[in-house]
Parts: sequence; C-alpha cells; structure tokens
Amino acid sequence: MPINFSGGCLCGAVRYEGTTEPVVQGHCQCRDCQRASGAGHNTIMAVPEADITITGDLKFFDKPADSGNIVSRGFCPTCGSSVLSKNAAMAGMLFLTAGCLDDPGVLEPVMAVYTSRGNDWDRLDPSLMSFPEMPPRVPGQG
Amino acid sequence: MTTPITGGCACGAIRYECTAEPVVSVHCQCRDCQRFSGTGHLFIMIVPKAAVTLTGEPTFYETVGDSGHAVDRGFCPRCGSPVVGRYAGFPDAVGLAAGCLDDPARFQPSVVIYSRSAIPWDVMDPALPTVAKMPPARR
Repeated sequence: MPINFSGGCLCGAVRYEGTTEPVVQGHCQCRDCQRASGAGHNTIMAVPEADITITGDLKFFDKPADSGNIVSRGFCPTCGSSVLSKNAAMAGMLFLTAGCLDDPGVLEPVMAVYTSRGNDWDRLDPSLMSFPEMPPRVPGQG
Repeated sequence: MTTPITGGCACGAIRYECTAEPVVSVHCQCRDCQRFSGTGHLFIMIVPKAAVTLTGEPTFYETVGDSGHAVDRGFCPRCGSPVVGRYAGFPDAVGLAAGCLDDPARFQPSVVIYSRSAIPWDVMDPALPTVAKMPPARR
C-alpha cells in the first residue's frame, strides 16, 4: 500500500517528501553502514527516485561495496545527518535513512542484511528475515 | 587498560584515540541522534576529554538539548561519518561514536536514554537500564 512520507536533516537544510510503495525496508549491519551511522547498523527504505521531491543540497561520499558496486552516501554538509544513499547496481532507487523521516514509524523493516558483521550489542528484531551478507536477490525485485 | 580505544570515519580523514575506559556507554534514541545517525539511535561512548587525541578536523553542528546546554555533533566533512560529540553540560567529557570504532566488539552499552522517542522497530537489549530522557545527575 502506498505511504506518504516526508523527512529531512537535523538542521532543516535538506528536506524531502513523496508518496510511494517502498521496495525494500530493512537494516544493514555492514561496517560501512556502522561508520556512516555511528551505531551498529543503518536502517533504510528504498523508494524510486521518481516518487520523491528533494530540496537542498547533499554531499555524497562514494565507496565500493563488497560487490564492487559504488555506494554513494548523501549527508547534509551543514549538520552531517545521514539522509540517503544510492547504489550503482540499483539505478533510479534512493535509500532513505529511517532516522531522517519525520515519522520513522512509517517504515517497517522486514529484513536485515550483513548480519555476519553485526555486533552482539546491536540488537535487531529476531523475527526479521536475515542474511549473513546480501541476499542472492533482493526481495521485491523479482 | 591494555590498549587504547581507536577509531575513525569511513574515509580515514578523522581518527580518534582514547587512553581511558568509557565513563558510560549510551544508546541515545533522541530525535536529533536519530536524524544524525540515520537509524533509531546513536551509540556513544562518553570518555574523559583529556584522554582523547583527535586527528583531522570534524565539522560540528550545535543543537540545544533539553537541559538547555549545547550539544555539538561532529562529523567528517568529507564522508559524513558521525565521529564525536561535545556537551556544554559535561565540558570534561567527549562522546565517541561506536560505529566508528576499529573494534566495535570491544564495548558494551550501559544504558538507553531518551526512550520516549524510541521507534517501535528499534530493538534494545531488555536487560539495559532505560530512561525516558536523561538520567538524573550523579554529582
């Protein structure tokens, strides 16, 4: 079912809104997501770029993932909030971070990836589908 | 303490080293930490400022906490990783973001704060002491 969502960074320089049916919602415990979040995992909702309007400028940091695909992490250059990311292997999709949603409760995680990198202090809902690394094929993507 | 606590941002421009054990290690679920981290909480180790050596130049963004004191969150201007925090209410301490630890397995959280803004899916260890806002001052 489509959801309305809006969000933005801590200082308000970057804002977004849209209506979408999220493609993937979940947590990632890879080391890059740990460093990008400052916590034990990142939590994202993947939405088609066409479904979102963004105002303000993000700064992007590119780094190859395990797969070799470039992950570009977008943050606000003023306040540092981790707002969204892109993955070169999934062009046209934006991965919005849960923490920057105005109502993070609209996001419902269904899976956890890279759990092999998880720390024991980083608890996740044990009923989630979980994968030691990336799933062979992203659920919802056929 | 055997070896110093070391860590740094995703691109390596900022590194921290601390020669003292954490005073307290906190999962903070406040809305500001949620936006800063991108997830349901930030995991911060509070350590004595005098024991920390920071290399590189974080960018700081200041907000005002519930207490009325300034909270400065520091991130790498190149890669955006949250790295350190400074707290006007605790001028002798700094916060180190656990996600940036070289060995994140080394530390355990000791308390969950600001659970009043917890997101339902942000699961915490139920054995941890949890407070709705900040714990009362102990000094």
